[in-house]
Amino acid sequence: MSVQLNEEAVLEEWQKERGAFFKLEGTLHPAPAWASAAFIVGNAPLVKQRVLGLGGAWAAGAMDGLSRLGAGLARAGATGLAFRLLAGMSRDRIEVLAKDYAQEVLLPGLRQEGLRLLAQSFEEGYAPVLIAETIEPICTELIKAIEKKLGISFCGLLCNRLEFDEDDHCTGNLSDPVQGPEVAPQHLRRWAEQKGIALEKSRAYGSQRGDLVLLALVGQPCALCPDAELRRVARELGWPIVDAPSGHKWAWVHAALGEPIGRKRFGEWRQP
Amino acid sequence: MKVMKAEQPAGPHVNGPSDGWVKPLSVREKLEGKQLLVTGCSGFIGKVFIGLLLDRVPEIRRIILLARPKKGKGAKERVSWLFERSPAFRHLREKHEEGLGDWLRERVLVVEGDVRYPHLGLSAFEAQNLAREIDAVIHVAGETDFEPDPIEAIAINTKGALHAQEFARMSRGKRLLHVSTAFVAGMVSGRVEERIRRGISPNGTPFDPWDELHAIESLCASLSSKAPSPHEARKQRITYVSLRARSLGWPNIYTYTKGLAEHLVAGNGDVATCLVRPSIVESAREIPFSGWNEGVNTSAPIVWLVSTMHRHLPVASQHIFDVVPVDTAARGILLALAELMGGEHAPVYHLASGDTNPFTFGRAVDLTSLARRRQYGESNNAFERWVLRHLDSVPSDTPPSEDLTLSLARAAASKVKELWSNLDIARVAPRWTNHKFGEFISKVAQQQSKQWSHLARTLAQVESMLERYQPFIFDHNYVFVTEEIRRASQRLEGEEKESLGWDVENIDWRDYWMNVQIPGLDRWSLPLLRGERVPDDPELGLGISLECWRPVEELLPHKGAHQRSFGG
Repeated sequence: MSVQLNEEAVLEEWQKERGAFFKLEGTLHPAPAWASAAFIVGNAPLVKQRVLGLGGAWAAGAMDGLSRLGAGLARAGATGLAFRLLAGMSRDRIEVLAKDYAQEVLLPGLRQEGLRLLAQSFEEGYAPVLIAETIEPICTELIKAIEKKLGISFCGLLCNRLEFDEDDHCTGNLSDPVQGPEVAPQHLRRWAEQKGIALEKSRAYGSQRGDLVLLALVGQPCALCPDAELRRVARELGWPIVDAPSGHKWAWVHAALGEPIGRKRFGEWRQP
Repeated sequence: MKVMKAEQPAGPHVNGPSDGWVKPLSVREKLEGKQLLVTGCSGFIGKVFIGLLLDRVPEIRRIILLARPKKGKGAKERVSWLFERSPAFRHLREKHEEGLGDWLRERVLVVEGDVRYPHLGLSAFEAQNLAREIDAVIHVAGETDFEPDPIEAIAINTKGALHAQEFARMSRGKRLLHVSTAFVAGMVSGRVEERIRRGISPNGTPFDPWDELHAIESLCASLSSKAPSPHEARKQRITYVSLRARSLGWPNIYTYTKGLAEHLVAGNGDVATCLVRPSIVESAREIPFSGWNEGVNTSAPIVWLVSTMHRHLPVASQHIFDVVPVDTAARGILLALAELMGGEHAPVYHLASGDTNPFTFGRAVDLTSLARRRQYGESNNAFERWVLRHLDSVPSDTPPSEDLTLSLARAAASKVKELWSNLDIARVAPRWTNHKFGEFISKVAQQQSKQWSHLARTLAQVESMLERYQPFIFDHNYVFVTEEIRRASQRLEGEEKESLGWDVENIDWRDYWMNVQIPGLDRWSLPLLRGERVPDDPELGLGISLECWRPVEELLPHKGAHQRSFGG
């Protein structure tokens, strides 16, 4: 009986899918998550809301920057603060602007090397999974466009979801589990189990110190355009390192001012 | 699983008492081989209804369209031209191509008449002959201006309905479907039930509709005879009839005359009558094609204002903006007609969205701003791209009558226009400038004066429209109950459910507003507000020439006996 069970377990494990985990912020695109909140709140209907919102978003950005320098601030706090600024905005406005942010800011600035690795992983039989700190409507728009362009299909998405009240206005809270800069190992394991993905047979791509946990959880970690800390760790642990330039590296700075770089220049990504 | 029971009684309530039984309804079966007389075929709803009927219910025997001659064109020419060039029938032209003319001739006849007159403008002989062939009268014709000359409004909206009912009484089917408006509910807020309390006005005042009609006609006649000029007489008629309408709880002449018609035609036992009340009818979703609209309606001035620098819109953000796409309204009319044909109709059908899928004014303003933001982002005009794009509009929650910004903007535009038109370059500029650039500056001044004058005129038009719409966009929050049309739609089965069902609850308002309504208004309605013309569809040379209905020759009593009497 026990032998039979073991056989089943082995068979089940063998049949599990191999995933290819891609972190959006930093790895596929240089823009941090708070830039998306800045873009949305920078286009709030009221000028007062825009000014206060942008101020808050930049404060979140400063927190993020200081935490990267090791100032003892939690980066997850920066993400939470940034999205809290969307409180009171309508679902319509957030979702429409999220779509615009994906089309006007993220898609033009995607790392070509990241896209190449995505296509390659898919071809090699790895199921692509996007992990993002930003909110769901941005990610779904991005996924839709990438799938169309590369002819692939994503197997999953781990990102943040905003909460809305009964009038469809944003409460500013993120639904649990909140996706921070570092992946929560238990949550990722549970999710992979549900999806039938074997982490030890999977690969992951990260670019920041915060991605260390994700990379440590999978069988084939890879550092794509890593920051200094991740580069050091990757070298120590013998993880492959890929360096590649970003498309429009500073596009997100423009976006964080509430102004996109203009979709006209990026016709190939434009969605109907 | 639905169970058919032969003993189930037919009647207005065709749902089973407790077991979820629903008596199936087939629109095509009910209309197969039937002949219908339709009035108002050149109007917004009328055209789409006919387009839908012809497209989705080919089993119909014949549609006879009542039209009046206009601008030197006979009824036959007018209707033929509509099928040849109107965008409302584009789907039929695309489907039947060169064969459309023959296809239509088998199904459509035109009769020259006018709902303002007894027998619908036909002679008594013609009316009797035509009525013998008619299974149901669908009365869509109406004067939709909110403050028209009461003489016209009563003739078309009130007496027109009576004439249509009188004609239906002579017909073989003795059925009348009268298209009214949901806003006959008057100046009330909250749930509006699908019923009519005959002789009770919206504010609860008892009145006799016949006495009311006669009194208002006498008032108009008296004002016309006493006023110093026709213009003054018209002004007085509008003022006094508006006052009378408001005293009974109707906000304007349009709803008053429509309401009066309902009270007059409802409950006349010898003609099976059903009242269909659409709410705010807007751009089509599918028939004739996505986005088609006609004329300037409730949302047009709001959408136009959002595209300007005007930021605070005088609408009540939480109130329901009860919009129904025109082709959905046409489906509703068709469903009510099918029930009417089977004798299973309800007395009143609301065609509205607010009770099942509410859309608010606040949401409409937000979505319009977002749609404009996208459009301006792609504009080549730097002002639109850098300034207007970032000027979102918000509901001001101030009634249009108290909103000073529009009147100030209008006054400013008039002032600037005056400055440009009074600019005397010879007086203000040095002689050498005048000599070198005088002609150029005069030309610029002329152009500017024209542009500012146009802006002032549009602002005045929008201001007056918003004030007229105030009861609907600010003062009252209507929730029209739509139980009857949903019940009728539930009875449909299979493909008919898909193609003819009432599906307002499935409308994704964001998608509809941003991708259907705004582009539709931009293409078909806002040019009219700017004083421009909307082009017809190109001439395809289909050679559509419909035939006129003629009375059977052998029945003619003697030559000349069927002379028309329009004077009645």
